Amino acid sequence: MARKVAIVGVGMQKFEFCKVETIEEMVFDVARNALEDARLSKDDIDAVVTGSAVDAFCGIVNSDKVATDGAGGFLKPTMRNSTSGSSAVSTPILGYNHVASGMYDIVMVICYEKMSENASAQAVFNTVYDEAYVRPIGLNVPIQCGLEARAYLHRYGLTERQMAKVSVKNRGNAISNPYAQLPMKLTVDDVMASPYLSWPVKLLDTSPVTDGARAVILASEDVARELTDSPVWIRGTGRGADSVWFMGRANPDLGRLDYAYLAARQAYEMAGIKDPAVEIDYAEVYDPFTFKEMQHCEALGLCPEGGAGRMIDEGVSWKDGALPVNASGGLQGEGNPIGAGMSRLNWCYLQIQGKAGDCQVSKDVNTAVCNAWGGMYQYNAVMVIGRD
Amino acid sequence: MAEESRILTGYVSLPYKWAMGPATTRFYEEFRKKRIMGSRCGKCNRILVPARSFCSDCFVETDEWVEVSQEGSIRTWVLINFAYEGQPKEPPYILAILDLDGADVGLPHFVGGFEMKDLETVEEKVRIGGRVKAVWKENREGYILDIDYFEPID
Ligand SMILES: [Zn+2]
Repeated sequence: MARKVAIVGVGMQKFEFCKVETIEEMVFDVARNALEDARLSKDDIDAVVTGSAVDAFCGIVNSDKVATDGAGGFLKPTMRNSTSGSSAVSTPILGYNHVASGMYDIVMVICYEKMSENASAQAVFNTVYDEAYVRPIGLNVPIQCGLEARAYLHRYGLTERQMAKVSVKNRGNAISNPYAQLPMKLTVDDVMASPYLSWPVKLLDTSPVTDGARAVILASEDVARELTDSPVWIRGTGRGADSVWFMGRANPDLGRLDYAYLAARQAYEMAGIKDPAVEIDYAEVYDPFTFKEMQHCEALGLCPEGGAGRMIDEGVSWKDGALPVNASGGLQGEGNPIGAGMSRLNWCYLQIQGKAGDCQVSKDVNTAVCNAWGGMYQYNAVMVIGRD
Repeated sequence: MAEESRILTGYVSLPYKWAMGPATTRFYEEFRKKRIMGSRCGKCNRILVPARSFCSDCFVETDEWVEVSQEGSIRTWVLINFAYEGQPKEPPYILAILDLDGADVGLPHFVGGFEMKDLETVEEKVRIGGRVKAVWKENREGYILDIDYFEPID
């Protein structure tokens, strides 16, 4: 029987295009902030779990070793996790497993990425593709997302204007987030007028290149109840992978993310959630591209399949809506340091605690869900957290 | 006044030798002869193009080679309008996932052979479900780029 696991502190820092700190300085900053938030010290931490997606950004292979000291991890058990972009949520899931298993009582989870140190993020992303078939034809993330976005819009009859509204919402929400890299007051027409990169994907449908880190401290039930009267529990976790052959899947048109539905189903089953659109109060949804937020809202059951266009049109996912999504600004507005997209989880926690500052939504938040996506359009990781 | 944080510059350049594996090697040998061959799974009968040495659905090795058509239809496509670092072509150009007749897996490749003046011209030529045909290069070296592009034929 798995033990209950609580989040007892989070560490934040500003996301920026180019941070002057080194990776270990970035990690030290968020680790210390999380310890302060949890009222713990370095020596209270039993084990450290780190996550980042792509070492080629910083040019240091096995960069986790550099994060050890800043995370307070030396002379302790440490483990690095990497499932590409989905590391942002699979890393705290690995931390959860450390505590739920009974192996450790207090675990520091650190996610970081320093993307600015390479001159071209998209040239780095081209090297994640296989060398025999797709690298020579130049696939990279915005191009593959163009292929996927067209398939998705076509399958469900959605529009580029609906995609644009996600950009307006998230970059607008980021204005209230002191850690955000790209707060912007935009109109749908502004987004529609931004240049096409890989039609139907436009510049303002994408997320920026970002440096940043996030920390979360997890604790067993006994420890959590000593530290706080109102613990926030990890109630459900789920992960899913689909074939690396994105062109040979059961759902051939790429419009439906079977692997994300799988990850969501596991997390909801574990959390005992039957109707997420009703039972989830708040969501931080992985939005490296505007249409990814829409696809993920559907896969997470926050709206019906194919219903993400209506969800944004009717204001459901806006900050004052019935089910706010990415009131922090998401990756679009806060920034997208791939692994450190764990910020989605941090913001769910802050919303439940009522500590989200100007990003706090007006409704009560007891249960929240977050997810992350990565690999060859292939991985999803989902976490549900909430109060008793 | 001293800088807050100095920048060191450098370059990482690492040579590689990638094994193609037997299935891809055979697949590309056929390209020299302008033939597109897939490997068939004996269990589910899917024809895999690009060829693969095993079927990941059935978890068995593929053991038969079957020629597929040089024509097919567009599953999805994208117009690249921005010059990314390390791209093989100057924009604008089109990448698509193509379902060749007789194959059960999509082949990612270029769609071209016409002038891409503006979005309207492109939309007239290219659509999901539109038909295309392979255009081969004169000099072929057994590689994905032996096919220059697929041209719209409807
Ligand atoms: Zn099979």
